Amino acid sequence: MEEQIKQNLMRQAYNGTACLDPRCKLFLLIAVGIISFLLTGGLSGFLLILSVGVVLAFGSAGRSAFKGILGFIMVSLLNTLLRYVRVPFLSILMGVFGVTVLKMIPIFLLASWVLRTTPMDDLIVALQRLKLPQSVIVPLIVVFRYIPTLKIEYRTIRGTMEIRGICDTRWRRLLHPIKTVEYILIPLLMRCLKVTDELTASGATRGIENTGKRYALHLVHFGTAEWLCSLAGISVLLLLLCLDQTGIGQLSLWRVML
Amino acid sequence: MKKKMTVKDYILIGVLTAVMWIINMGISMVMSIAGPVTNVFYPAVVAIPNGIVMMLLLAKSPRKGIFTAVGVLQGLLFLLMGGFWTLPVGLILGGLICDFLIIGSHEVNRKNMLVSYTVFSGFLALGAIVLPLTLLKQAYVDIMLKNGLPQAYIDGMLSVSSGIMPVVLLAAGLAGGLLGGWLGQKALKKHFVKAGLVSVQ
Repeated sequence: MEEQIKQNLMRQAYNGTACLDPRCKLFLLIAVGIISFLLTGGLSGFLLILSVGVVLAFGSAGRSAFKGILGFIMVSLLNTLLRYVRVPFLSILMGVFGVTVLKMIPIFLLASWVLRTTPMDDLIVALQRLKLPQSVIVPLIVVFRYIPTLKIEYRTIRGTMEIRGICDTRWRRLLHPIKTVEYILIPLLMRCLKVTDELTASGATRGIENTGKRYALHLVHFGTAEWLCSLAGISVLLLLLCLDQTGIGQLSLWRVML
Repeated sequence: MKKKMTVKDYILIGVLTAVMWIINMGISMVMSIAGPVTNVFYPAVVAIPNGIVMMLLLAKSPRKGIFTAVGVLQGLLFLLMGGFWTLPVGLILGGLICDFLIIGSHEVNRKNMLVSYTVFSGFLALGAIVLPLTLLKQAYVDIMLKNGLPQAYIDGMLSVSSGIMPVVLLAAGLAGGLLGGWLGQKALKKHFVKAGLVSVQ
């Protein structure tokens, strides 16, 4: 019986690269974030999202990697098409906005994967091993935990507004910003104050106030696999940066086809 | 003011920073779609709704170090999301200055809440827009030329970022902070003090 409980507890929903140390994942995320904005060429950007996709595919998230790459291809195709077929307003818009979206897709893809596959206990332990003070760790964990909940809270507020007959469309929200703030932000803040009390109580029962050394159920250790992954990630990113300086990286993706 | 921050304060900071960050991401996305001229003014607009959140945070837990904690947290989040390095540096510097120079050893009251939030949003504008634009102007132009944008558009972007514009952008950030803080204190009085949730001196 006890053995079975232990096995159930230790069973992990993710495997492969998703089991890496949270510090390694965060390091890769920051590196991709910096490199993504330094790359200028079309091909090197595509290679960046391909390598992010490979990391995700080895971390039991092949489907979201596929979706992300597909989205990237679609946006870049649209970008190129609009450059050749000049639609008066849309061309300029996509020229600026499309480029930003292309740069953000790899980062968002990697960030959502890191958040999904990292248990919060492991993250707390990893951040504590980084010698961060408690005043940074606790709020950071709460932020990660609370951002998905905000969506639900927002939907609840919208539902309540509908019940009371306060009409609110997307257009109205833009036209009456002050009313938007008063009708949505203030109830949200009221709710936040309540959630704070609940989270404090729930955290206190799990020993979040404990300042001693923590341990997680899973092994949190920056071992050989983490070093190898970090080195491989950095070398791939540096290679992309070098490729970007030469002519090959600057090749546009779709010119050949058109 | 003498009391140290407890875990409850940390959790409050976390929850409200999440709200501020979502507001920031939403507004900056909408304004960058709208065009380059509105894009550069986004810190000023972001500072207005965030003023309400920040005033609530300061009124609910008037401890030393609130601004620093918020600055460090938002800086870390932006760093993870691929922000340019001036943004975290500006936010952390602004938080330290607000906490130790403006509030210092005083009690948190209405006046220094407003002043420190104004300075903080000035630093947000400095880190988010003013420094990247002045430091990275050539890189910006290169990227835009590579993407085949018309010359007129690039000229427009350059005129936004040159001459007296950095000062104007910084002033807009400060003004946004002032307006946001003022609105926040009004909202506090209208909704939160009346409900007995917080009290402000």
